[in-house]
Amino acid sequence: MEKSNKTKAIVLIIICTLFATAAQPLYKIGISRLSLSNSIISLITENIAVIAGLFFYGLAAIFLIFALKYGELSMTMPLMATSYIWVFIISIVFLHEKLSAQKLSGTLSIVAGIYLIANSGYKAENKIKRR
Amino acid sequence: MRAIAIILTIASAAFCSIGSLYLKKGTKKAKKASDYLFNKKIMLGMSIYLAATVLYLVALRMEELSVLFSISATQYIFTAVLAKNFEKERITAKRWAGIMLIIAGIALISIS
Repeated sequence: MEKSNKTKAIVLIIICTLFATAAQPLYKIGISRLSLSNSIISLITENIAVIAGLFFYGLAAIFLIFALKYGELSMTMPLMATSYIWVFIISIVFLHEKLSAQKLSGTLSIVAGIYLIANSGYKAENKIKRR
Repeated sequence: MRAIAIILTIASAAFCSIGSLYLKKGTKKAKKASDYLFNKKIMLGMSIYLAATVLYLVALRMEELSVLFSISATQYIFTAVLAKNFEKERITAKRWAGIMLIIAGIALISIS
């Protein structure tokens, strides 16, 4: 039971970081070219990026809340750093940014940290459940 | 200016972790959808989160992203301390090591 709750929290937080990572560029691009039209339809179509960005942020918040329900605070929050891994992948694969040794070692350090956190603390979780 | 930006970022990191603590507390007894929607603790948590974001955005206007980015990663330390004291979570050595590796990683990425 404890173990499956933890797995749930990890899955939920990973989905949360995916939405948060997608939301950021959409919101940034959208807000930089925000247009104020007087018809509702063109207001929506011209600002679709910022609307999608905000929508994704909202989804990320919902997934975060459910992840926090199932997982310990000190495990769930640091796992939010998974978003840095997504940013790294996007910047290399889609934006063709140069891969520096520093960026790679930083990302690997985050991966190692996430691995350690995801594999820590069943005992504490049991304790909380029993109270 | 730089000192103010750093203080604002640390405050933002602290707010972020306080916000997440309230979110966590809010979800404890919630079962139905309405329990989440009309939940004082979740609303408070969200508002504190929003305040943290505003503080961070103000700080970003004063100082370079790379420096502040690394400092904002200290929120995981605040979160661990709050979790230990208010949620009675046990922060194992493994978990501390993970947090430190993540902070080091974020610093490496942002300073490059």
